Amino acid sequence: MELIKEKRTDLTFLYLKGRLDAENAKTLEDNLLRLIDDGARQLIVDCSQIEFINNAGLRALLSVAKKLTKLDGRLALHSPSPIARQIFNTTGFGLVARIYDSREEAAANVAHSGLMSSSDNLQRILGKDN
Amino acid sequence: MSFPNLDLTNNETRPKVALVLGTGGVKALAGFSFFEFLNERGIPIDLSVGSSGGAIACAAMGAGWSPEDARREFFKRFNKQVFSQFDYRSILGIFSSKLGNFDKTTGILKPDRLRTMFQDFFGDLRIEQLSPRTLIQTTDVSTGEGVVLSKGPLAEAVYASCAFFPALPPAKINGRLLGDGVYSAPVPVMEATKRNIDVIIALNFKENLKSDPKGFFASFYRHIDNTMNVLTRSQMFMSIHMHHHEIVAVDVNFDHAINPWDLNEAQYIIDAGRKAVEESKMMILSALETQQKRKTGLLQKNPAAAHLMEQAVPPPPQLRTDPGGSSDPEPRRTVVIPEDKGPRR
Repeated sequence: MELIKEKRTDLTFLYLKGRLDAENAKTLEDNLLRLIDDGARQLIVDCSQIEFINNAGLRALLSVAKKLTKLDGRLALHSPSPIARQIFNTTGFGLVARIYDSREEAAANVAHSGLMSSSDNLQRILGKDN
Repeated sequence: MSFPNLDLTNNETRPKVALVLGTGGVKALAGFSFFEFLNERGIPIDLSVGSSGGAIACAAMGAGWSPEDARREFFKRFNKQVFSQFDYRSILGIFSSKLGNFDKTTGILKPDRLRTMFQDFFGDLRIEQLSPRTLIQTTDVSTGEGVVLSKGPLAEAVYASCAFFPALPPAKINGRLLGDGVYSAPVPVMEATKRNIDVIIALNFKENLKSDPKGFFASFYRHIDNTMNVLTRSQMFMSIHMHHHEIVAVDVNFDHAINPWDLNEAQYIIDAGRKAVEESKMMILSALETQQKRKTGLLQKNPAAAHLMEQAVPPPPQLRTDPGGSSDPEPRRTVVIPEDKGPRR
């Protein structure tokens, strides 16, 4: 499992790649929680390269989402790979998690939650003004 | 992908496995393929839990039928005759209490033929005699609560689990009116989470229909199906949150509606089961291996997780926290896990 971080203004974009299972879920959770401890509040996670995710992985993401909710933050997942989408749907994870079809949609929803101030800001965040 | 370390011969260290079969009428007989797969791989099943159609399949396997024999017999006997005996007094009672009587003890169909069929299949067997241990999910028609039967006459328990009210009347068991398990647990995974099970394989038999339903019954069943799918996902999620081991949730997909008496669909149902096995077997074997590692203490000792992270992550630059709202046109790409701070507490 590979986790890449890209930080733009208030949003932290993350990119998950590979298998997320019992062997690395705790490590992922620890690192995401550490990011939150360091001040990150809006985590937007690209799930397009997830090859597999099991219960332990789902529990890790849920734990992060709960922690963020307590801090008025947000975890948004987007662009799930076919296997991730299937697992999110089958397990009911999609009922409680925020899952979007694209990075833009995820960022827009986080922005419109009142955590960002204007659409200009959103455009800048997404790099569309360049 | 092979699983050379998966050793299922040691009862102390092998993962305990539950197979959970959801509702779906005759479609649930696709679940026989999963019993076959586990048997062929020498994977012992410690518990099976079935609801409605899933209860029939679990009961048949627990009673000692081979999947092949069970398929042949069920597909032969599940014919339209079983479901064609209307209870006209009850039907009239739907429209007027002066013409007939309809209450929670009645149904649109007379249950005699279905009951007789289950009696022929299971005879006087009791649930507690089945191997693997089997649980039958039903619903208390008076309260809506789920009732899981773990002992008592098998044939009547299976009938109760399939008694889809108001089409069929519930069964009176231990003083309670028990009907179709679909109303309380369409995929009864929560019952398995209460047991000491390491890997739960939960099968959801789904019709993925694209066209809109036409007519009263099709519309009614679609509505029930949709509602129960949401209930299933809710319960599945809660189970995953509660259960600290593995739940492998599998959708067994059908692209058109199948009635219980559609005997011409037998091969399609078998094929759907086999396809679902093919699609999910790696997940099942992987879950078994992971749980075995956990039980033998290898999971903690296995450096794979740390190795994976280290391999993917070069020593990173300093993680920097931007001041809130600052402009940052050139995003920095860094990799998390800057240093080994040890496990969080």
